[in-house]
Amino acid sequence: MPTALSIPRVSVNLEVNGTSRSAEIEPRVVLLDFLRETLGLTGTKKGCDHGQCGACTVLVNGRRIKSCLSLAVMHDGDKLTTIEGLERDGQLHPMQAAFLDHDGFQCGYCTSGQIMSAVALVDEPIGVGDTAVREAMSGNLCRCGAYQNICHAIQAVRRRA
Amino acid sequence: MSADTKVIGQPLNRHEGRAKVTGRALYAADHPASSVVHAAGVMSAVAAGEIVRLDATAAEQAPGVLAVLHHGSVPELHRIDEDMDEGRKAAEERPPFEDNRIYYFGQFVAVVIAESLEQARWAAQLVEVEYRVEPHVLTLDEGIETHGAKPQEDEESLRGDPDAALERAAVRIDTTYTTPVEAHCAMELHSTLAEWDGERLLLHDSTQWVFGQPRTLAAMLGLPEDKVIVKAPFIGGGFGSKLFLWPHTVLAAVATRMLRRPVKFVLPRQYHFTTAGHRPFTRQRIRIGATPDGRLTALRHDSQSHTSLVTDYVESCGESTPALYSCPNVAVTHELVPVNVGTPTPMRGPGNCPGLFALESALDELAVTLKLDPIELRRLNLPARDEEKDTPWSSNHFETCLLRAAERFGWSRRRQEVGAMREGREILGWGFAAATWPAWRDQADVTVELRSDGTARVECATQDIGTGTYSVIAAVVAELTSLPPEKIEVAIGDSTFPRGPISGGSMATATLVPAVAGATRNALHHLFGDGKTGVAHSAGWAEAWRKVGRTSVVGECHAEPGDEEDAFAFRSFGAHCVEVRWDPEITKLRVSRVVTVIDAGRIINAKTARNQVEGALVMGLGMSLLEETVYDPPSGRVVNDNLADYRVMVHAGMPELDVTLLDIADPQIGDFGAKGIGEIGLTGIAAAVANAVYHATGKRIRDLPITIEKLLA
Repeated sequence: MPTALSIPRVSVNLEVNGTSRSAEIEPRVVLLDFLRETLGLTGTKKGCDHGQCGACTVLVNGRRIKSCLSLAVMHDGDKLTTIEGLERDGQLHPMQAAFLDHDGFQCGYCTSGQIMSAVALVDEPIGVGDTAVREAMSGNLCRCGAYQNICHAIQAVRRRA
Repeated sequence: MSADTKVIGQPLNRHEGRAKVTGRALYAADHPASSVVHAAGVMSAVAAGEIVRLDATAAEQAPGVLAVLHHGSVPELHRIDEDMDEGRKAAEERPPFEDNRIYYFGQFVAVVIAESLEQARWAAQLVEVEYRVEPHVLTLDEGIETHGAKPQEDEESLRGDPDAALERAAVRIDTTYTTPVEAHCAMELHSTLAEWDGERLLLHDSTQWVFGQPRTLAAMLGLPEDKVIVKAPFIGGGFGSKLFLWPHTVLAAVATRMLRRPVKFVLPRQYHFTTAGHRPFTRQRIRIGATPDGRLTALRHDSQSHTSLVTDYVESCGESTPALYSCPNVAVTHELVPVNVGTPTPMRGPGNCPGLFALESALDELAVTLKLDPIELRRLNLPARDEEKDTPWSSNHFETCLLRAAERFGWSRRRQEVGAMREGREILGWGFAAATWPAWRDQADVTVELRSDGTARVECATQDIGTGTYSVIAAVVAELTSLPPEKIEVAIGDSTFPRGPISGGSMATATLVPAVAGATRNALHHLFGDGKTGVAHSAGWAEAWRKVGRTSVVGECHAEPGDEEDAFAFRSFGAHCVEVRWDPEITKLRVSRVVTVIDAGRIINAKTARNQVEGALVMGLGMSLLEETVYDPPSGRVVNDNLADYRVMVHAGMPELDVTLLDIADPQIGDFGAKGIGEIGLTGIAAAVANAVYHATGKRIRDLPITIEKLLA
């Protein structure tokens, strides 16, 4: 049987959306919960907590990861970008604008993760066609089923890039 | 888009879209609350029996733990007097912790509340539970043997003498279809953030029914109904799972009252498969009698579905069977079988989704038997009126749907023989099925405030689960006032607003449009006076404001269906053509093309409406090929209780979707003539896929999902 235990806190320092943030946290705190509960950045969503749905996708040093699959303390010194960090001077990031114009969502819950994944994907060498986009976006589930519009949105941004 | 409207029918961007693409939309678990504490559940590890010992000592002593809730440790909860009209319906009639019995695996046996999520989750593992295990039943046959099958008289329909007509029929079909347990899997985890200020309970809750949720919860807690307020400005999908009150919401409310601290309860994904609903298993026997030239003479649809041991939930498989086609002799029956699984609940397109898989597969089998084109078979049996209700249709463009779908798909090039259409290594299969859903309408109260600064605000206690309700409301006000949609504030998702409809049964739009239109016209009337009409920014706009001498006017409207409900039958129709590609050498099956045509009355927003139907098709392809909740026979546990093992459609599996919305106003349903559109796209699609699979492979799969294993068998 497990027994009750008290866990000493450790400090973590990282840069989130261009701002340095530090906190004293238990080492067992998951990055997703750290973003949402400690930093109050609730744009990043929890859909499964198992790395299966992609709703928690954020960028770490420019690459997309599922924030529910790593501990916050593993990212000491890292640069994170979340959905809250995409706008510039009140202007939507082109990927956000494309999702809006192409209606690449319905309920909006997977949308932060879809957009973060799509932002990273633009810089990945995946090939030009729709099939490549569909494959590369398959780590992000959308139960509303807006995939066709998501693909159109991403391709519109890639064509302009 | 109809020519007589300026905004309605336009493909406008989603009204609340900016909040969603920026992450600023606040879902239930996102609301900031100071000194919030967290809940974690302890779930039953057996499927039937009794808790003989529950020791929470170690959990209570764990760091950060504030309370452990279980049977005997919580104040009394009450069974509610269910009344949908009054806003009371719980998904499970049994309040959590009512007794120490276990009815299904994954039932709440305790809840730990702690300062942090990590502490709560850890301490939940410290709760010791000992069970006296009893035998459990999981399948329909086991359930029938132990508990019997309960006939459901409310589901029955009978006209003519179907058994005699079947006996006489020149051609007969008698086949049985099964559909598995399916899970809603809304992306947002069911979440409740409950706050108690000493006399009033405030819940940020993921609910499809802000009108009913507080009333139901108040009744269960024994509070006056005005002491519970529910807010849900954003809901991350529901598909039925968030229609009615589930135990975790009750437990969050109980905990906040006990502790006087805000309590956040985010239900982990695995518990969604046990204690937040599912589509039940169904078994359906279809018998059809027909003439040699394809006219239906008899139709029997006898179905069974499971329910839990705590609440009866009926999956109305035969809902549309008496109405969809013309037939003089029809019988529909349904039986309910209790088993030891969590309580089922409506899942998008309840009843008709499994129902049309059976009915539309059976019609395809009849077409094959008769060597008749499947679309032609439907055309031969179109109903001129609703033969069950015995009234004319309010509108019915079923035949147009059939013909338009055939035309867009290129159906005339179809060769009838199985496996006759090849492209390289692949065999093409082309399948057809109809879609249908009742066009329901409920009551709504709406308030519209027009302001002299050129803005407006609409209030209604309805909600948007992703279905486009924000956009629909804004479009109606914009249409009637000429205000730009972005100047219209749509205030929904708050139980303190005037009564609005549930987001279920595809009735929110048809219910809201007449009420919003009425309230807007009333507001305009207050501004422009008797006998005059006018719109924002017209010549008389500024002068009208000067005359009324105020900076805002308010219009209210209560709208509900009238006598037309009895005089007409209201129903939406549709048609699916599906292409599958079957590569027998490597046993690979994929859906490559779907053409769907839907008659859902007037379309209010072409962009969000199309997305609804496309999304329904995506879910329907999952239903066809992938989705199935599997229970472990010895334990009753859900084997695939996560989003990797319960397989839903991912982006890579997407075929080309071609959706057409006829966009013809229904003349009877109310202002602008919109019927609902949320569910119809999911009905029939699994049959269209199964029929296409038969056309490609010659294998008739009568048991969903259509897996490779079944094609190889």
